[in-house]
Amino acid sequence: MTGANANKTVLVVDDQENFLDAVAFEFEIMGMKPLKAKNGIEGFEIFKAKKDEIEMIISDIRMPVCDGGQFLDKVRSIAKQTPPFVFMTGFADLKPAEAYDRGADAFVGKPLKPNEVKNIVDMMLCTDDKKWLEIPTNLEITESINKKFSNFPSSDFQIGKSGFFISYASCPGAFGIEKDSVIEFDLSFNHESFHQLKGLGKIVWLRMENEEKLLAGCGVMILSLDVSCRDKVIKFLSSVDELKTIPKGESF
Amino acid sequence: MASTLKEKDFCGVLVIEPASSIRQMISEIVKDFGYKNIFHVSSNKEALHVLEVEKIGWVISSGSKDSQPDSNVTIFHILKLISVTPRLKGTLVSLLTDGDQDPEEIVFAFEMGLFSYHQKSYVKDAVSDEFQILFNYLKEYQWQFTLTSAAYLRELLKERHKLKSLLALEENLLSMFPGSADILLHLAEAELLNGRKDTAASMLGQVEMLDKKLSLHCKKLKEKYLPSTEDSQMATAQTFNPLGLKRVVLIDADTDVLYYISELLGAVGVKQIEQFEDGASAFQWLEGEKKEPDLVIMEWRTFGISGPVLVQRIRQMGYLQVPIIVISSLIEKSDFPILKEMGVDHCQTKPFEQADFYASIVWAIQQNRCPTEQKSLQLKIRRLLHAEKIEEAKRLMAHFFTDDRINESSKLEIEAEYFFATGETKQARDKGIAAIKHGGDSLLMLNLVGKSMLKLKEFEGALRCFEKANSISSLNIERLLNLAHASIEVGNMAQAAAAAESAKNLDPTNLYVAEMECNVRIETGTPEQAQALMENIDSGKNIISYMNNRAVSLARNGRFEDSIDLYKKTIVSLPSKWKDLKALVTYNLGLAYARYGDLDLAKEILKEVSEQRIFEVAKKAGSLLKRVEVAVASGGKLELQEQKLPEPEKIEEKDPAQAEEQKNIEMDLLEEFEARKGDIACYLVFFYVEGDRSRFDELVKDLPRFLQRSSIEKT
Repeated sequence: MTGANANKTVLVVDDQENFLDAVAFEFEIMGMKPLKAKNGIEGFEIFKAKKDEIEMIISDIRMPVCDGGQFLDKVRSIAKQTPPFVFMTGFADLKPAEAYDRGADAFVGKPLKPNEVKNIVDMMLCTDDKKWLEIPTNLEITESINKKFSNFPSSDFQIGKSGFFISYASCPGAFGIEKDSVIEFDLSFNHESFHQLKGLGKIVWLRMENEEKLLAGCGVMILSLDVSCRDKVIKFLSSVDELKTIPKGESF
Repeated sequence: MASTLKEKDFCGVLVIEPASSIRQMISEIVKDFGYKNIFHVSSNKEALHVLEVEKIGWVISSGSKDSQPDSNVTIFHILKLISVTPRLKGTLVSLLTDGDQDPEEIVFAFEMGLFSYHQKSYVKDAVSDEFQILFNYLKEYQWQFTLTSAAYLRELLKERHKLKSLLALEENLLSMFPGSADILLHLAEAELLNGRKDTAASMLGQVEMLDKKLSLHCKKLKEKYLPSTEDSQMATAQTFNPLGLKRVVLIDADTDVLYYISELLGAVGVKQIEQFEDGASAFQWLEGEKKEPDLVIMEWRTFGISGPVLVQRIRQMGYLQVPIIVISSLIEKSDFPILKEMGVDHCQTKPFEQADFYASIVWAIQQNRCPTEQKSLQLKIRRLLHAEKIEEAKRLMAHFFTDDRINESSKLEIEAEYFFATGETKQARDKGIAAIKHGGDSLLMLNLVGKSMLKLKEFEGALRCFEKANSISSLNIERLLNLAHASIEVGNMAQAAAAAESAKNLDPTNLYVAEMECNVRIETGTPEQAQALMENIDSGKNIISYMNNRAVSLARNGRFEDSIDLYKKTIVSLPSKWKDLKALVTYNLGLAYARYGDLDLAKEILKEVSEQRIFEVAKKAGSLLKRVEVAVASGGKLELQEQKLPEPEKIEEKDPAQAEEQKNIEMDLLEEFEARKGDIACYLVFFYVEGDRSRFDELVKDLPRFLQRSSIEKT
């Protein structure tokens, strides 16, 4: 099979052999080259050896010897922003908010849905010229958020390389916010390089109440951006060092 | 039943107060809160007259004893009458007390079903504030009257230091609302007040697991009662089981998920957790246990037996009550109606967090035991009807039909299901069609209408229904078998074979699927294939029964040759291991020829059967053979008894007026049930264990006469 992502190398890490083989096979069908590892230590050794080759990592969370969270930290200690790191798991014992803050790029459920591997690969390996360009169809939009922020960044709004955190205090009355729901947003900022963020996003985590140093709010994965702001946003984000994927909403 | 407190436009409110100015004031306050139908009387005796005639949802009483010499009616009499008179069952009673009321008696009043009590005042604002607290509670508890009433009772018991009774109350509430973190918190506090620190410590840990929002409350209780208890001590304390689950079955190929779910369940006191990595071993275990588990949690993609098939098999086993929760990454919200049709109660998407998991479990268990959500109530009623627990279903149906928030199509659906369950097939069909027209759940109703039409022998119609439903969801095995059946009846053997094949692809080892496949092979005249299939089936009784019924039905419709042809095909298809069944079918063939008038052939066949060493059949064949020989010899006719078909379905022909009357009668019947736990505030939920029972008996002595009348008869 040929495609834009054919022949790209992906590192698959899972302690359960049947899942490891099944996921690796999905990548093979797509013409990609999967490398397999049974835990985080093995995975990290392979990553160190083939760092320049590996375009994406997909890993289970709960594994013996070195779990997914520890593996993520190890990878990000030597490769801050790339390659994209995807968690696949049945049980989110590493909270999505924490994982996105530490550098994970996506969370998918195990077992993987048909076509999910392809969708993840397309999303993760998308180049900047195509990023957030296509408006997804057949989505039900459950909420609209319009807000002007006088400060940027602030506790109430924090941008990451793939999405943003927005506090509940910034969007009172937004009752359509549920995990996995799709929202449209139109946010404006008083900042010389970052004026507007307008588009569609998916809620990937929720925090209903304030916790110690963390604000109540939600993590939003950007799905598409309006042409009026897209280029500027991508340019701004590429100018910032060490951006989290989606910040976890620490108050400051 | 009267409209409830929530329906302010329709709820009748009765104010009982001897002083006219206070009576007037209370009536105005009630009006300010939005109620429109307000009655007011000066004595309990007069109140009874109103209750006899009007539909009253809320009684507000000052609790005073009647001053008239000929009346000794008290608030306790009114409470007692409400609990024993079905038509008054929805009526709530609030007490306004001026401080003279004996607190012991108020506690007893709660045992009898008192809803709330308030401080009486001559100042309008003060009374209004009291009622505002009540409505705040109602909002907090989402108009759940038992929980609202419990809030008042709890404070009273604490105030009176009646701690054993408090503990009993909270335990009962938890059994009614399993897994409720709020109630568990109250129970923990009751345990602490009764000095049971270890149990309380464990419960507080569970409260925090179930609902993090209550952490602050837990912390306050710990600080107050358990200041020196370490967290580690709490962790080792014996865990309580707030969910009330004894046995849970988990099925998931992902051992991480199995591990975590069992940890989460163990943390809330579930002791027996059976874990399986594939559907086949889970099913084998369930078959072996012969006892319905309390909960099944499963992945949708399971190995061995797939998720959709496993769910249907669990329900086919007769395990209709156990909640089944599917936890999977493969399902979307839009899939849920199809999953529900197969018997799934709730879905949780993966990956899931601890809080989501507990919320799902608690919700599913609560809705299963005490459904409040409309869909859950419908599902429960449906399952009870399916399990032939008609009386229990009727009890829930009483609530369902009297709830004005439930739409017409849902009510028609339940009516259709009820008529189907009670054998009134024509009504079931008609109600089902009406439900579909009203925009009801088309998948379920298409199934039901199809099955009704099958019973009514309206095969073309049945086929259309099953085809339509199958186009929406093709994973329902029962429907595929019905589709095959209907196709056979209309003579479309290719479609019958295709449907049987689809069912086989879904569930190759299902016995009913195998039997239908045999039936199809017999009908299509492929005896070798039919025989090969039957070699793997233990008992052919169902197959023979199906074929025999069909052959008899063909004969009764004048299709004698087709009937005889079917017998012959069946005989040829039966494997040699079933000699007795073969003999039986051969006897039936002989009988068919006799009815058809071909006595020579009948004689030949019956002679053959009578000489076989299968006693019962040989005896029958011998007896019939003698009669045939006599008829042949005399050249006369053979008189045979009218064929007995299986009991025909009741086909009720009713004109609209009769139907309406029937419905009214049924609704009246539905109301004729004694009150049960949760029907009236804390009645049957709370028992005053520390109270003086003799005093209690005195309070309700000499119950006054109460005669319900319709309003036109009021004097």
